[in-house]
Amino acid sequence: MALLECRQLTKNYGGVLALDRVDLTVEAGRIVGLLGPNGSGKTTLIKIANGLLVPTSGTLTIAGMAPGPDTKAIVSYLPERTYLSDWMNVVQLLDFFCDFYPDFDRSTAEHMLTALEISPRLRIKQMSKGTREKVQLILVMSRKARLYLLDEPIGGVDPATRDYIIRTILTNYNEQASVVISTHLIADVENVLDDVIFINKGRVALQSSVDQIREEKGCSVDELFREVFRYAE
Amino acid sequence: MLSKLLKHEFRATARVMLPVYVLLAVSTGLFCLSMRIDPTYELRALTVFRSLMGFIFGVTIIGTGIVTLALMVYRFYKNYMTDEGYLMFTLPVSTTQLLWSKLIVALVWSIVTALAVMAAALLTMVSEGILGGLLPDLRTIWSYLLSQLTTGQLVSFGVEFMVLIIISSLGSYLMFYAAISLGHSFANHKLLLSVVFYLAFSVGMQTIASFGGVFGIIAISEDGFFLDDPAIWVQRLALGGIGVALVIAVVFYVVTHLMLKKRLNLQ
Amino acid sequence: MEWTFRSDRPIYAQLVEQMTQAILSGTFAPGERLPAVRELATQAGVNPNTMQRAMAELEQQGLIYAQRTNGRFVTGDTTAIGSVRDRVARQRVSSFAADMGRLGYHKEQVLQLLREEEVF
Repeated sequence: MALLECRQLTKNYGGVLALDRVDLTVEAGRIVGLLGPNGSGKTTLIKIANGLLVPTSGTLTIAGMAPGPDTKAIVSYLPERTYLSDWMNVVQLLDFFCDFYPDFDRSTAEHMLTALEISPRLRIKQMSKGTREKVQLILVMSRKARLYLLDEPIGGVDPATRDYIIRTILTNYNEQASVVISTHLIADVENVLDDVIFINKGRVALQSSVDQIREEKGCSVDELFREVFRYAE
Repeated sequence: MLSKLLKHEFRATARVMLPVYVLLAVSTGLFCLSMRIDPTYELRALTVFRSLMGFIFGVTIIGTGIVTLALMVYRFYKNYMTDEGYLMFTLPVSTTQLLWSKLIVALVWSIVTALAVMAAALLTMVSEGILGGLLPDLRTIWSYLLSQLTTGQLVSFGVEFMVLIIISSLGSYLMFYAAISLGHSFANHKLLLSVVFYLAFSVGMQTIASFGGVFGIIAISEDGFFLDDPAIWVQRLALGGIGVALVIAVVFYVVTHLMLKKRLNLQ
Repeated sequence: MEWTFRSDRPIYAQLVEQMTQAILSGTFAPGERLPAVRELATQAGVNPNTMQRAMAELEQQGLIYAQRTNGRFVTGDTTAIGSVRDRVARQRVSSFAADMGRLGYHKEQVLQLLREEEVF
């Protein structure tokens, strides 16, 4: 059974066709890149997978189940924005995650926080943007989830943090789980991806493995992406 | 999971409510103190002090009520409709649990505030010595009630009254929640639409109340209405009131639940 | 160990090459136990599945072998390593020869250059 499966998934809102009969599959033990320009439907797809939006038609299942409390228990989501209450401090956040997620590994999180020298008494509102993003990433990656959905995880951070994030994703890898990374910064993550899904205007333009692309087209995924999504002259 | 939601919601709200209650206690204390000072010292300053404390006391009482209501409404908005919604709606809990956690906490704080305000008022009256004067009157009213009704009826009225208060409070909060969740289901002008929906609902409630009043008057003017024992008549009124409040609350609950489940539109 | 990757060739192929080089140069000594796939992948900054594929390829070539519960080891068979070294060396030589040919040099000129340059 596929970990994430979309069948003719369609989402229409405000007259905009955000997703147009999308078919895709993500098996367990894969690191997948969801690549596409802004407004391509990546975020819509991820929101539906998280149960934050309902499809107009078609289905999306996670481990065979429709999005709901049961899938939320096995999906770990890192949104693009800060979703943590700004008055909470690190310890309170750890308590929160421990309370709601049985698969949350507190000691892993504490190790990572110490490694990044983030004080436990620090409140979210006192942190810089970069620190906030790191805390969020640590909380999300410290869960032993089946599916990790990371929306632009390396977007606004410095190169050293980017490396740290990628290393965290790799260290966390296990054959039962999959990671879906939605990003437009392809070159930085390409070496880490098993498969890529190109999505544009709500449609899947391509689904392939990174190796296949390099073998068949003799170029990197980044280069192929630029070619596929080139703006018309 | 609901208990965990409640725990965290209480934590988040107690940060604001507890200092507010402390403020209430302090202003009550100061006011009572200003009352206790022997008025034989004919100081201008004393009168000013007393008036000032009284004014502050009044403001604090009203303020506590307003803060309670505003905080509960704000929590729903901030925690569910803004970026925090990305966290709350991806927790492994149902929409029902999310909605009830906010409702229960709102209800609890409302009750605590009501009790706190009553306690403050009572304390003030005791200080001012008013209570002593009122006591004989209160006793008279009480005896009259006991003579007219059985203890059972009195208890049931008490219970019905409590139930009505609780359901109306829930209904009021649900009206806010429904307006906010409806307003936020749109792509633009979310807050504006929320306010518009709230006003629309208020007008709707007024209309229903007017109809209710009209029906009530018609019913009363019917011959034979008063044939029944007035106690039973009051009973019917109470139950009718509870029924209406319940229907209203349920309608707003359903609207809110639907909006949160199917029309969540986090930006 | 330094890992560098080109973007136009499959990573697993590049991993095979770089690990082969490491074994030939002795960075991974004969008989030495290799780190776990996941750890190697993290060190190299690549996908574990890709590293797994590279390891499988190296196993097939006989440069490494797997012991059921103990992990993977570099082969102790120095003859096998030697023949791979030989193969790689010959590949490099023919590639060098082809490059020099493209520059317009023929065999005698190349040998003369090598003597003059005292590279060995």
